[in-house]
Amino acid sequence: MSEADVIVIGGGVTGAAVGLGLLEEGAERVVIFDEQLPSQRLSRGNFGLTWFMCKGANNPIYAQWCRMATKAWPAFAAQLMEETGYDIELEWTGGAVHAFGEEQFRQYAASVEAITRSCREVGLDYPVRMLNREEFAALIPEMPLGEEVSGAMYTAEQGHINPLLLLAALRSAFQKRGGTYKGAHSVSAISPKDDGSIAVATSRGTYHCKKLVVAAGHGSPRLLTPLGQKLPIYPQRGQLMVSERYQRVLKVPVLCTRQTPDGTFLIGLSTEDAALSSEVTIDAMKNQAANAIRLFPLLKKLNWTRSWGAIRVMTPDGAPIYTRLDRFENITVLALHSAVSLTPLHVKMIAPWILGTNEAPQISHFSNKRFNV
Amino acid sequence: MFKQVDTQDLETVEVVVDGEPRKLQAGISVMAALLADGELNSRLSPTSGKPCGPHCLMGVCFECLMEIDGIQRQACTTEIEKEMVINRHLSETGENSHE
Amino acid sequence: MSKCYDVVIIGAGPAGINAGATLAEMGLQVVLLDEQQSLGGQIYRNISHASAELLADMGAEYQRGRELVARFEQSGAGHEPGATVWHVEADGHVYYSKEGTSHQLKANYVLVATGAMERPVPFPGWNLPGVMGAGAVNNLAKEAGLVPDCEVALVGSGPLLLLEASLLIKKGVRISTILETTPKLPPLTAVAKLPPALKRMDFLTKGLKMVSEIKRSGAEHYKGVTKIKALGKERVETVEAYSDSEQLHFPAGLLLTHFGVIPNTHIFRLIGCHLEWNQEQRYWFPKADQWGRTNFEKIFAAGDGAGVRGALAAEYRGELAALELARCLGVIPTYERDLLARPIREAILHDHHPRPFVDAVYAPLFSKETLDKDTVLCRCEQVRVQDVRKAVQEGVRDVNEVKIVTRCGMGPCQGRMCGPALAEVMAAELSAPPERMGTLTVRPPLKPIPLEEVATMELEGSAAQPADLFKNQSK
Repeated sequence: MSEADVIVIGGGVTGAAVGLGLLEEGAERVVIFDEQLPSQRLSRGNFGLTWFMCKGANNPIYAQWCRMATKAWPAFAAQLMEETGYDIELEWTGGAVHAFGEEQFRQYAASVEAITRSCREVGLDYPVRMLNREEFAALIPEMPLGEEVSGAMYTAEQGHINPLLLLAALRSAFQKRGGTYKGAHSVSAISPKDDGSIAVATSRGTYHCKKLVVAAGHGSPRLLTPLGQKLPIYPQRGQLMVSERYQRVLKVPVLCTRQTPDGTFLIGLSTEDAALSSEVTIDAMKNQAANAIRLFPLLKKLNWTRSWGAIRVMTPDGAPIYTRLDRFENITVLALHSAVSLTPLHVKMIAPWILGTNEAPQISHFSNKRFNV
Repeated sequence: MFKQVDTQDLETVEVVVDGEPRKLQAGISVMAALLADGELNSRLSPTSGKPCGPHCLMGVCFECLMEIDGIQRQACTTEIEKEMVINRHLSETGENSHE
Repeated sequence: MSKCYDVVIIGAGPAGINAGATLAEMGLQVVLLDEQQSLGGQIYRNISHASAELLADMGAEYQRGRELVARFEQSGAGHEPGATVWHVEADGHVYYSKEGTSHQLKANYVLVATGAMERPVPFPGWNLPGVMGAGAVNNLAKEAGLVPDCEVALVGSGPLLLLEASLLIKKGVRISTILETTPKLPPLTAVAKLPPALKRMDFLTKGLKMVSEIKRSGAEHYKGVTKIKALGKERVETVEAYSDSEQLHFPAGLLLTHFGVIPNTHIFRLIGCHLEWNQEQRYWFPKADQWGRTNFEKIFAAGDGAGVRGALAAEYRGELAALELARCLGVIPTYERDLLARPIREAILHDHHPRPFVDAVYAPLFSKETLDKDTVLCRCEQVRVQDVRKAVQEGVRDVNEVKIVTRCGMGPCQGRMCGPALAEVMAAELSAPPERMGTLTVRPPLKPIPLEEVATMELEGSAAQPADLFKNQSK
C-alpha cells in the first residue's frame, strides 16, 4: 500500500503533467502527493498563455524547447480533452505583444531580429513578425486600439488555454490511467536508503519508492537541503486582475490582456521582488488597469471583479531546471516557471527521461550543473 | 407582487428602463423602485441564460446586477436618480449580454 | 475631505454608529463609511426617514435606532454615505468608491462593523426569481414602504423567520405556509441552556406571543420539514416539502427564506484576520479580544460581523471597541476605560441570557442528504452540488482548489452565497468537519469597481516598478 514505483512530490501543473507522462510511458504504481497550499499553487495565478515568443533570447536551446512545446500543444490538448472530458479552452489564435510609441516599436523589432538570428544558429526558425498599427488593428477588428499603440510583435503559432482546467484535466487523466493522487498530504522528509529505495515521510505515513520526482516549487528547497542539494531558485511575484464578463471582442491574446472564452478579461503583468508574499497591491492594480486601458480603451467601463498574486519559481537564467541529484541518481528535481507552456514536453519528454527510456538531446542543457561553472 | 402601503406624497423620478421612459419612486434603491413598479427580473444569468431576480436586497448576492448608466452595478445598493439609464438586457441572447 | 483619521469605521449599523458617536464625542477624528444612503445598517435601515406607521409596525426595537442616529449626528463624527469599501490593508489603509471615484484613506485604527448576512442555504429552485431572503422583504418595508401583494410562503429556521411571518400577518399579507426545518422537538442541548434564558421572561414571553399570533392567523405551520423545493417556470409559483413522509405543496407568489444569520467575514478574510469556527452555529467569525481587537493591532471588529449576538449587543460592543480605541489614542486612561466599560459589560450579559437557548433550538443542520445533487450551489456560475462532489472524488481537499476546478465562488458575489454550503458539501463528502475545508481566499476588490476607477485613483507615494518578465534574459 505504501510502496510505489515512482513518487511525485507536488501536484501542480508540472507534477501532474510529469505524473501523467510517467504512466503513459509505462510506469506502474505512480503516486502524486499534493498539499494544495494556495501559496504554492502557481496555476491559480497563471495567465494561461501557451507561448514561445520572446522566450530564450540569450539561450537558443531554451528557445527551441519552448517552440517544441508550443508545436506540441494542439495535439496534446485534443488528446487530454478526449481522455478526460475537461474542456481546457484551447484557442490557437496566435498571440501578440503590443508596443506603445515608435521607440518601443523599434526595440521590439530589434529583439525579433536578434532572436531570429540566434535561432538560426541552431537551425530553428522564429516565426514572429512586427505588425504596424493598421495590421494589429485588423487582427482584432472588434477591439479598438488606444491612441498610443504603434503596433505589435505577433506570431500565429501559439495560443492560450485555461490553466485552472488544465490542472484539473491533468489530474483527472493521471487518475484515469491508474495513478494515485493524494491531496492534503504534506511531505516532510526524503530519505534515500542503502538498497537504492527512497523513503518519503508524509503527514499521513511513510511511503517507499524506487524513483522520486520533486516538483514542489518553493517547497522543494526544504526537502532537498538535507540531501546536500542546493536549488538556485528565487521567488518572483506576478499579479493579475480579472474583469466581469463581456461579449467576445478580443480573440487574440496579448501579453498583458486576454479575453477568455467565457468573456472575462485577464489583465496584468508584473514581475516583482516580494519574497514569498503573494499579496495583491493596489499600486500594481492601478498600474495594470491604466496600462490595459491605454491599450484597449473599451476596458474603462468594465468592472474589475477579482485579482490574484502568485509566486513564480525563477531560476538565475530564466530557463527550467531539470536535474538529477549528484548523489542520488534516482531523484529528479524540476523547478521552473512557464509550466503551462511547457506542459506537453513534461508529459512526452521529461517523463521518459526520468524513467530512462528516452532522452531528448535538449534536456542535458537544463541540468542544475550549468550554474556551477 | 409588492404594493405601496403609504401612497401619499410619493415623489417620483423619470428614468429610462430598457429603452423606455418611466416614472419610478424616488429616494429608494433602483431595485426597490423596480419592484415597486411590478418588475421582478434584474437580468439574464450570464451562465444559464435564465432570468434572475433579487434575492438578498442587502448587497450580498449580486443577483440584481444590471447596467446602470453604462456600468454593471448592484441595483439594491444604488440609489435611483433622475435621468438614470437602466438596462437589464432581458431579451438578449448570451452573445450580446454584458454581465 | 481629510485623508487621515484616528478611526475609520466601516458599516453604519448599531455597532458602527455607537462607536462613531462615542469616539467623536471624545474629540477624535472619525469617519463612518457606509454603502447605504442613510444611517442604520440593515436593522435600523432608513430609520431617519421612517413614517409613523412604519415605526409603529416595527416596534420599540426599531425605534431605538432613532436615538442612536440622533446621538451620532450631534457627535461631529464624519459620515460618508454611498461609500463602497473595496479594500482594507492591515496597516490601516482603506479604499472605497463613491459616486464613480475611488479614494484611499489612512487610518490610525480601522473598526470593521460590517454586520451579518442571512445564511445562504441552497435548495432546488432557490435561484428562481421570487425566492427572496426574509431580510430582503423586511428591508423593502423599511426602505420603500413595500409589502407583498401576493400569497407568501416562508421556509427555513430561526426566530427571525417567525418574526418576519408575524410582521407580514400584522400587515394583512396572506401567508400560505410556514415550513420550518427546525426539529419538532428541541434538542437536548437546548434544554440544558434553558435556565439562564428564564432570567429573561420578557424575551421569552415576546417569542411565545409571536408564535400564538401566527397560530391565530390560520397560516399552515409545519416543523421538521425536509426536501424543500421551489418550483416554477420563469419565477417561483409553488413550494414543495416533506413533513415526515407526507408531501406538502403550497402556492408561493413569493417564497421567503431564512436560515439564521452568520457574520459576513469577507472583509476580515481580505485583511488576513484570523478566524474562529463556531461549532454549534457552523460559521466563521474573526478572532478578537474582549475589546474587539483582531490579530492586527490596527484592525478592530464589532457588531454581528464579529459573531452574531443581535442589535443591542452590537451597539454595546461598538462602544467597548470605542473605549479601547480612545485609550490607544491617548484620550482616556486605562482605569477610566474599565470604569466606563463595566455597565456596558453588565448590559451585554443581561442581553445575552436567552441567546444560548435560542441558538441551540435553531442550530443549523447539515448532512449529505440535505443537499440534492442537482441543486445549484453557486448561483453566479451555475455550479451544482454534484460538480463539487466530483472534484472531491478527484482528490481535491481545499475549498480554493474546488473553486479553480469548478468556478464555484468565482462569480460576481465572490463566494458570499455559496462559500458556507461549499464547505458543508465537501465536509459531508469526506466525513470531515467543515472547518477543515478552509475558507475561500478573498482578494481585492471586495465589490466590483470599473477598471477606469482604479486606473485613475490617487495613491500616496506610488512606487510600482514596470514589469519586466524577461529581465533574466538580457545579456
